[in-house]
Amino acid sequence: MNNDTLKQTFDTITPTPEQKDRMLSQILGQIDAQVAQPATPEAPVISLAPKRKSTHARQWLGLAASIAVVIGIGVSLQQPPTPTQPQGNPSLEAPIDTQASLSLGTFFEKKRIYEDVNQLKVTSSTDFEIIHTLEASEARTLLTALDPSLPLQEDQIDFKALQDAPFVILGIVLSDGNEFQIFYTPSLGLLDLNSIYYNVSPAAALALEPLLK
Amino acid sequence: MYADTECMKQEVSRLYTQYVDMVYRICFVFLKNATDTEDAVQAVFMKVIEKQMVFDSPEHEKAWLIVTAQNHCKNQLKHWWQKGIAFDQNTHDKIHHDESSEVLELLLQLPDKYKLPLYLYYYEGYSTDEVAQILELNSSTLRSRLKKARELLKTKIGGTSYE
Repeated sequence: MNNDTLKQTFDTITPTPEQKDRMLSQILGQIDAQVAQPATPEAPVISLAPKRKSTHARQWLGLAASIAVVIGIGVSLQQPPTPTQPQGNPSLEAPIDTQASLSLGTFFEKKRIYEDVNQLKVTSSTDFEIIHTLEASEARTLLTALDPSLPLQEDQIDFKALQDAPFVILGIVLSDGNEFQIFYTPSLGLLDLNSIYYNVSPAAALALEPLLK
Repeated sequence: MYADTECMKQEVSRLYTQYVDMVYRICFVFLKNATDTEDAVQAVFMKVIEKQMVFDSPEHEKAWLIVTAQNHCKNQLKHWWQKGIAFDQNTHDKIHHDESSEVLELLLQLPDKYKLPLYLYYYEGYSTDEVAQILELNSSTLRSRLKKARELLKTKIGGTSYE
C-alpha cells in the first residue's frame, strides 16, 4: 500500500450523480422552506434584505464590531492558509526516493542542514511541550552524532511495537524559519525522517540520552 | 448578505458543485454510511446560509467547509445512536462499484483524530503546516498524528511507506 492506494481509496468515497442531485434539490428545497416560513421566535428566518436597525441598535453593533476587531474574533477557525504564508520546504517534505538509500549524515549534507541549522527543539510526544532547545552549535554537534545512522528496510521494523512506544520530536529549525522533524523512539533505537526509519548507533543514542530528561 | 432567494440559491449551488465531493468524503470517513453522510452534507451547506457566511477567498471557503463538516460530524457522533456504527461494505460496494473497500474499511477503523489529517494531507495535498492551521493543531501534534496514522495502517495492512 502506498500514497496512490490511499488516494484511490479516498476517491471511492464519491457520491453518485443521483446522490448529488438528491442532496442539492433537498438543500434548495430547505432554502425555499426557510424563506417562506413566517418569523417566529422558534424558527429564525433568514432575511433576504437587511432590515435597517434603529440608531441605538446600530451604535451597539458598531461598538461590538470594534471590540470584535480589536480582540481578533473571526480570525480563528475560518482563517484559511493563504498563498503568502510560509510553506514547508518541499525538498524536505518529500525526499523519499533519494533519501531511502542515504545515511542520515549524507542526507543532512545534501540538504545543507549543517550550514543552515539555527536551532533544534526537542518536544515530548505526550504533552507536546518543548523540553530542550539547542542553539546552532549544539544542534550541529548532535546532528553530527547522528551521522552514521543508516536506513532500515521495512521488514526490519517492528511497527506494532513502534505504534505504542513513546517518542520525542527533534525539530530542526533552519535559518529561513522552516522546520523539519525527526521522530526518535528511544526504546527501539529508531529515528523516523519522512517515514524512512534509521537505526541509531550506540554513540548516537548516548548523545541523545540527555535530551530525553 | 444575499439580495434575494435566487442569489442565495446560486451561491449555495456554486459552493455545492465545487465542494460536494470533498464535504461528502469528510462526512463519510466520520459517519461511515451513505444515509447519514447525505444528511450531514446537506446540513453543512445549509450552514453557509444560516450563518450568512461571507468568504474572503476560495481558500477561506474551502477551509471553512472542511472545519464545518468535521465539527458537524463530531457533534452527530456524540449522540448515542451514532456511536459504534460499523462500515457497511456491501452498501458501499453497491454504490461505488470499487475494489478498494477493504482498504477503506481499515481507514475507517482508525480513530477519528487521524482521519481528517490523512485526508487533507494525502488527498487534498495540503502541507503539514496548512493542515495544522486549518485544524487548529500544533504542527508537531499534526505531524505525530500523521506518523501514528501511517504506523497504524502499516500494522493493519503492511506495505510501503507514505510521505
